[in-house]
Amino acid sequence: MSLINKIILIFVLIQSTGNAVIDNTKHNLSVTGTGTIKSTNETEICVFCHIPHSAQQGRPLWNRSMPSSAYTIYQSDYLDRLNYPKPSGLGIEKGTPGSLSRQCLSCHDGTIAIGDVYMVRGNILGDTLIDMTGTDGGGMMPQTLVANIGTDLSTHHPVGYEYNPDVSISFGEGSRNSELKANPDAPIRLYQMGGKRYIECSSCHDPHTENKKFLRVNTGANHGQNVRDTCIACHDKSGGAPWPTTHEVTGMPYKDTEVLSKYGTYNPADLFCANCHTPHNGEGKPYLLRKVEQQTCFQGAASSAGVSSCHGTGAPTSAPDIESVLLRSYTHPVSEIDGVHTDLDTLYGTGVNRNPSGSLGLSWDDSKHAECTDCHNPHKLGSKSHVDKGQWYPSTPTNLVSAVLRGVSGVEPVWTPRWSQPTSFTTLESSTKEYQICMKCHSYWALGTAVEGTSAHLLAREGINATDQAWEFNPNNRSAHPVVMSLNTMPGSYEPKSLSSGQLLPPWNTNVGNQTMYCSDCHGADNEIGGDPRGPHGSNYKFMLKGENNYWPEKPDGSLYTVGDIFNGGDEGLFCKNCHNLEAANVHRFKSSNMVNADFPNYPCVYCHVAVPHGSPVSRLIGYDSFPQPYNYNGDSLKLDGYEKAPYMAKSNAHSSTRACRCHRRGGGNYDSYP
Amino acid sequence: MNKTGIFAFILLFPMIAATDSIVGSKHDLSATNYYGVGSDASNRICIFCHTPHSANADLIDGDGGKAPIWNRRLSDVSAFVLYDETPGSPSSVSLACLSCHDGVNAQGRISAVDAGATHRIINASGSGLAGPGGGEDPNCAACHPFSRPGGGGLYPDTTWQIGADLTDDHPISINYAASFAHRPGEFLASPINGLKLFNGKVECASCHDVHDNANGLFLRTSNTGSGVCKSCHIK
Repeated sequence: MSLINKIILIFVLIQSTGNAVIDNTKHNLSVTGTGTIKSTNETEICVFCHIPHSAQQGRPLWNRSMPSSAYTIYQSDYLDRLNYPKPSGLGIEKGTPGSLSRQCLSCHDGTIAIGDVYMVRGNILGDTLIDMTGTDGGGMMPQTLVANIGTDLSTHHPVGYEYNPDVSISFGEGSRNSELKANPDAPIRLYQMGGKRYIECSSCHDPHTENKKFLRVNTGANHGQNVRDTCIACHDKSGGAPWPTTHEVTGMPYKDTEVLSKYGTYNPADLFCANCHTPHNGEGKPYLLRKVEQQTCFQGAASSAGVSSCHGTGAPTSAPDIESVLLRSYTHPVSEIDGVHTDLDTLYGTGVNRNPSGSLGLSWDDSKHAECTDCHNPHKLGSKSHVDKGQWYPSTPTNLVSAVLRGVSGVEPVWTPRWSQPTSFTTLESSTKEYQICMKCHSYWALGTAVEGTSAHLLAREGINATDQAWEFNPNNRSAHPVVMSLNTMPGSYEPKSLSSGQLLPPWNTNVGNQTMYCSDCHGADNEIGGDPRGPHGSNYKFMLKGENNYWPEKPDGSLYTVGDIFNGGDEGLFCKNCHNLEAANVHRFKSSNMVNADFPNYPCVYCHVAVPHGSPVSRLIGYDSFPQPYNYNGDSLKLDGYEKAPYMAKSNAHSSTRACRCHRRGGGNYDSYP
Repeated sequence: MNKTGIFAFILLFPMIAATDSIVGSKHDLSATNYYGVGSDASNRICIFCHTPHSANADLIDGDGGKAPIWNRRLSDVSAFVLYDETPGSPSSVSLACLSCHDGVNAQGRISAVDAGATHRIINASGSGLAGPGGGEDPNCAACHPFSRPGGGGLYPDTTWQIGADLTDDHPISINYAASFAHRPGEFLASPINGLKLFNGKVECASCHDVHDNANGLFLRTSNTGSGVCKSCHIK
């Protein structure tokens, strides 16, 4: 190459100065800037934030004044309960936690003019501002811009917080920690101050980079993946379980073009955390939820459920539509009560001091609520329930939690003597059995004191007071549906513990006596077999009774089911028929030519049986006339005052002092006691 | 010269033509530039910093770096706190600049230069050393503006006073290659646009050409679009 050509080549190489990175971003506030906010006359780029001499408070070589705003810091009961180290505010002096973020906020909180810098080319500007266009009247960032964070940081990802993976809180069994990785994945940065590590705005954002939203991460196939990878660089919510475990659906894309334009994808798997959470400006506080509580589950990252692939009405995919089910007549009050649920509330049941003081916990008195996350752990769940598609009941019944209930906190009662209220519970970080989830609220733990099984809390739609299911399903009772344990292992029950297989219908008639069951084998949606989402979310049937038959103890017309209905076809809709072959119980078959017994077919089921068929201190869910409501239908329907089960029932096994059942006036005497 | 040569010359012209003389700039401390009051009303310019003989022998580093035949003193290099907030002395090349730009250790300011050291050059004009504590006080007006014409006046606060606290200034006397390795992708392999390193380190004279104010602020290249910053930093 000739000398001249070499010189030309060197010249060209020298003039192509490196990568002009910030030049092509909105942070180029000089006249050459590409955004709407820029200077009308200033050509230097770095000077809006940096100055090489006489730098002000801030790092590195800061050229702006620190805003003096008092910021509302992110807070949550979860962090308080974990005793997570919490700052009192953002630091102002350089080198203090939060100060780096305060530097970003010197433009982004809208209180300081963007052209307000300390020095330009050796001249201290004082009150003079660099002339800008695109700002509001005072030279600040306009309030309408998403980038205007403002001074309320409670709906923004915490900054100025210490990064501490070692904090945890213990349950009776298990513990929960801050679910942070020991060290964040590159390129996320933490800042060392005083021997600890802190998160700042610039942990996730590089203010100079051309990456979308100035994210440090740019290795994803689209912006959604970059957001995802930013979150999971620090947060480990899966407990080490391999991904994907949940919400991994790739066949159920969003239909919202806003999702595509923002994230470059319709795929929920690309968004991951960002389906439900947004690090800035979420509507749901705390936890950076996009929307308030259940509304997040309904629509995800879409602008409405109708263009989402989530759990709201009108979502054009096959994700379970829970929002519609929650509009039915009998529901858990998910959509009706907002702003009560707190994370880790399982630890704060009846009698436990609230932390922080004044916060809410589990109590029908002051914290009544039901949210999706009380029964589902969205970070750990899988999509399968305990029942196969197209069936009401599992082929092999069980009471163990299914994939959709994985990782949910619960309580295991400490069982007390027969027909009394368990008041002591072991809190579980992760339930192993379904009833442990339900009993968080459906026991003393949230109900408070119950008298003879019944609490003080009225269920307005059902018209009865809520009863204590731990009380009712206590294995020391003489009879109960096998929710807590199988009938054969129930200590309070005597032989014959279970029914015979002929008295049951599939799948309950195999392995009789050794099976367990779910609360939601009885309680669920109207049409689970035909497409309703499984589970006790809502139903048009009272008590959310589910199955082919949905009524107990009253028929649809309000009259009571009777013994004779079993044989004359009048038992249509009788709930028990879902699982029980009622004709096969000899007692039901009792007929006699005696005049008195001619009335027997007219006797309602609830003359003998408790109206709440969970459990009883008496065998075979029989109740005595001294039982109170709601076990005693209307307070006066039970007729017996003595009962004893036997392999072959005889007249003397039942005793009654009433006229209706006067055949049983004399009797054996070895009857089940009450309690 | 053939066409290619002329073409190259025109292209290269901006690079070779952007020079100015120290004469008439703020670094021209002669009596011609600042009205002279004091014992030396001469037009000597270089003497304020340089001397051909008997220069400051303290301004030589262990790695061989040294100030260029420096004619000024510092009294206390232990006064400096570097950018990383550790006490330490910058390299001699930057100490040379700081022998004026550090300010003076007086009026409540901390500096490496006391009033005696700053007022006396080491080697006066003419033959013979001025001797320790002796020497001429050339051109008071260059630093004490109230003495033009008139007399006295305190050393004014100005933005070019760097002070002994270097924590608010761009780091100097740091190894460029070490930073390049520590932060991949954030630095060019070596500075461009005429910026230079001294013994592999960034010093005051990396960005500033002390004799040439063609770009303003004695910068080696134009800072339009922050070109100085971008000669090293990839941002």
